[in-house]
Amino acid sequence: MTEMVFGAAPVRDGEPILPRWWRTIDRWSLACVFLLFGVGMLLGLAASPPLAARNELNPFYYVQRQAFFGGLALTTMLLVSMMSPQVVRRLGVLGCVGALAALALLPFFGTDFGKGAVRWFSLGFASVQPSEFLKPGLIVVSGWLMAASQEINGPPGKSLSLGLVLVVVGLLAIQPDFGQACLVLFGWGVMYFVAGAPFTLLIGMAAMVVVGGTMAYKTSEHFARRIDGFLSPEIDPRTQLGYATDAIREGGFFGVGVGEGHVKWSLPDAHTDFIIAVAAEEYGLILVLFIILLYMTITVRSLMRLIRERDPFIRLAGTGLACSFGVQAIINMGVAVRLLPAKGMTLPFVSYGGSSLIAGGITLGMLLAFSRTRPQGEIGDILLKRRR
Amino acid sequence: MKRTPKDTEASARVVSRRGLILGGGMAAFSAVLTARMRYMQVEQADQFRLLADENRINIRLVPPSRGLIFDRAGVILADNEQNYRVVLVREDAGNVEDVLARLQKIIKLPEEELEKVKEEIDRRSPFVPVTVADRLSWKAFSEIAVNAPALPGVTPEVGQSRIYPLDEDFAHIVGYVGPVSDYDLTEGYLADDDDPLLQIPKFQVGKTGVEAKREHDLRGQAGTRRIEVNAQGRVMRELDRVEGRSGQDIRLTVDSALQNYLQVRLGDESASAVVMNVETGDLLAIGSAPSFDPNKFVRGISVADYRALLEDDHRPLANKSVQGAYPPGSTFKMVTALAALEDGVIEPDEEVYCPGYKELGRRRFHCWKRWGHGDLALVNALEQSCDVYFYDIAERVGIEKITAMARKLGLGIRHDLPVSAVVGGLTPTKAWKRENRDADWLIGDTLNAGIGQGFVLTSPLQLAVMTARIASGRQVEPRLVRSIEAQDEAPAPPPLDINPAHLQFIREGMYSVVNSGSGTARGSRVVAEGLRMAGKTGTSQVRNITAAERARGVTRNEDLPWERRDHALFVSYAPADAPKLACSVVVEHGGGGSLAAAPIARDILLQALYGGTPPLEAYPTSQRGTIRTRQKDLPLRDPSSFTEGRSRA
Repeated sequence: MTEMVFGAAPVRDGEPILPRWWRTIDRWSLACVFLLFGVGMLLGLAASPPLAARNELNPFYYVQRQAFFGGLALTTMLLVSMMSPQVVRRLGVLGCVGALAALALLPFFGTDFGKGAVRWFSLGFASVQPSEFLKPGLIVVSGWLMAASQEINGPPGKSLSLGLVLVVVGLLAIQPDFGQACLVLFGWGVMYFVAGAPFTLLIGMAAMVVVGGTMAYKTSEHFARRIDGFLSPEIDPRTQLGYATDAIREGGFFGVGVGEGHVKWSLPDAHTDFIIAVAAEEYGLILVLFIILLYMTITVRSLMRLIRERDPFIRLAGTGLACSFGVQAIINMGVAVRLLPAKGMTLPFVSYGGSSLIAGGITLGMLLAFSRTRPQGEIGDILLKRRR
Repeated sequence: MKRTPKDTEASARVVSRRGLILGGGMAAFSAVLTARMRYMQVEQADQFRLLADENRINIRLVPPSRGLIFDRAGVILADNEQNYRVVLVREDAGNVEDVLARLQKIIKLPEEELEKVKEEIDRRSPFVPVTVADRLSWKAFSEIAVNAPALPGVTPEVGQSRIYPLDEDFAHIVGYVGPVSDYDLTEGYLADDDDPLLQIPKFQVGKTGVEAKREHDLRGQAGTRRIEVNAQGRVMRELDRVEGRSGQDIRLTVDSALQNYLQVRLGDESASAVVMNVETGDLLAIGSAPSFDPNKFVRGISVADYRALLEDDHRPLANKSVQGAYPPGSTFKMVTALAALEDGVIEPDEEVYCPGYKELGRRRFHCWKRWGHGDLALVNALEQSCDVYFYDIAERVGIEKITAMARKLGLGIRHDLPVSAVVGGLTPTKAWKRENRDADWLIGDTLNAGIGQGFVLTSPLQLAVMTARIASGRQVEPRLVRSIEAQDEAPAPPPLDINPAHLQFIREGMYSVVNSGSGTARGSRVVAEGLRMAGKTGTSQVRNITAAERARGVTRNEDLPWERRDHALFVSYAPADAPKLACSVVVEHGGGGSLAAAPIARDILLQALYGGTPPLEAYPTSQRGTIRTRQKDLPLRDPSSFTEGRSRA
């Protein structure tokens, strides 16, 4: 094939990996991720002592673990972000297949840690939650399938990916883990939307969500109680949500002061699902706004960069990753301020938890790999063809 | 590979547009989140602080912890213990039946209790916590806490409840607490008390004994809790809390080890005994048998148990040592003698002839010794308890002087002790008889009063006070509460307004009663030098002996039904040459004072003087075998029960 090069094409074969990575990476998002991790450590310092006291460990045991897994997660993220989209795709497919297998084996080998839902494999020193690792892989595979379906004579990718997603949702539902199931469905829906889904279909899906929700409300007492709790104007102050709301109100603009918070002593999930309440109480609105800003910078910047992307696979998978990352953060915080019904979901990169941290590292690594600057426009098209 | 036409310009625009929509959506979401955060953290926080001005704030009382009661050495007599209980809130429980059934697997309530709880739950407002079970073990308590998710609406709580570690020993002195009743508040001793704490349902107040008499010191002051409630009165949150002041601790003069010995020594008899320091008036032990377990009352006594206590003819609920009023019998003879000596109607060495009876008009007043004592002077008359001698001097001195002397010695006066139902007894006068019996005083009444029969009534406490006053020659007053600050108490009480020489004659007589060859209580003497005991026996009739009966030969006590037998009394002090302790013992329907009461008084006094089990050498040789067996068999409390403070496990 003839080489056609206009001007200074930003393709320099033989350029060393690191400088090229640094030149093309989204440095703002990268900085935000590091800041988020820092915030996570800061809040870990606040939330660890009560938890450690309950389990009779040294006060900063959980900070040390957080630092260890965080380091692992950041390293993973940097490594993944250096990969080319093709390698990322291979990684995603492998991860998806592996995590799917693990998910399917959960009912036989998993444990529920007394929480009533079988979501973990216990490895002794740590536990692994396969669904966390499945999410990025599933999004990459779905993106690939959808992109492929846009090719002429391509496979029926959208239907295939929908089938795959439904299998995953089914597996999550038997754990049960409806939160993750929703998130997976949402990620797929976003990709489908970006891939150009007809609006009528979207409306139909919205209707189905409403019907499904009503059914769940009627049949599941657990689900109904959560919705009732959300809808009632007064919260029972003895529930987790009640404590969290009190804590957030208590915080005010500047917070009650470092280490002065009370909520972490009475909330069982202060270090995971309700870490934002600890932040709000001890550091006040300032830190909360900062955290929101960090998440939004990563999500919106990545989306804006992906809009310019011409490769459908990168665009779809990247959008899926960015949106599921952003939405998980929004849901977590939305629950704490009672904008959304109670749903257990971690705050990515801030909440304590090994699986969540490392999976977050993989997700962001992939996202950063996809959002790297690439030749776009006509040149992009040409280079795209050349790459194939 | 050829690309689809879709994926060209047009498609790229769609994609960009949708991507923008997504990004915009995300940004909008986060904007809402930000606004909501700001609303909660800035505006609601301000509102929250303003709430204080609105009447959504309620003040709730926090009960203070009740003062403890100690004995003289600091042994705890009334303690507060953690009380673990579970409460249920109906509206949080959802299906109450289900939740109770699940709870039942952990705590296993009896059926009827469960029914009561269900009724209570139905009766109360749905948000009011109802106590389901009380006094749970720590294990059950923690199990409930762990299983909380399966038990919606069920909350384990910790409160305080009263416990009496020495249960039966102090039932009558310390008393017990119970939930405040309507009667207490309207007619009872709390009628003028407007402490808001009393409005708390089931608030524990003293019901008898020191617990009731010192209620105001023990109770303490309520703390307050400011809480926010909604329109239905449901508690939303606690705003702040002011801790109350705990009740004052009270230290008694009693010695719990001696008290335990006394209770055990009295055993199953219907009896009472008082041990008192003759100089200070400190009550070292003040017991009444049989006793009961006050802890049962705190926990809520069962109907059957309560009825058993009420129907027992030995009256376990009565505090006989202060409440029982008995004819003092011969123990009153010291009073008659002192009155006569002080009045000068008889000289100490003047002899009176006893033929076995005294004739007054056509009536014969008999001596307990049918054949008479012959010629007797004061000391011998006391020693042998000759009735005729005292009939004679009583007639000479007259009832008014006898009564005045009795009051001087602490009889017929209500001594102010912080225990329930202290009686004043009765020392009769002519005026009293005219008012109460609508009859004139007869000489015969004086004769009867002279030997402690007839109208005279005294309590064991009063007898102990009388003995202490004779022994020390001072106006000692009984004292049950020890001032905590000053160890060296108030100056010694002033001397009695009685000629010390006369008192000395009486002491001599009391010494002979126990120690001389023909003394009525010789069987109960102490042979340890320096610890010898002085005393006086008394046997008081609870019936009249008719002339016909006397002619037949007086029925022996043992042949009578229990409730018609004589009361046995004994008053004593020791050591005889330097008196320290006085002791009175009354055994209801026990028969003769020398046989039924004197040995008990000796054992108690020796126990107190030795501060533990006395050596057998203190007892006469011939009795040591019996005493050894008795010492071994008494079911005394383990000495570790009397260790100071909270050291018990």
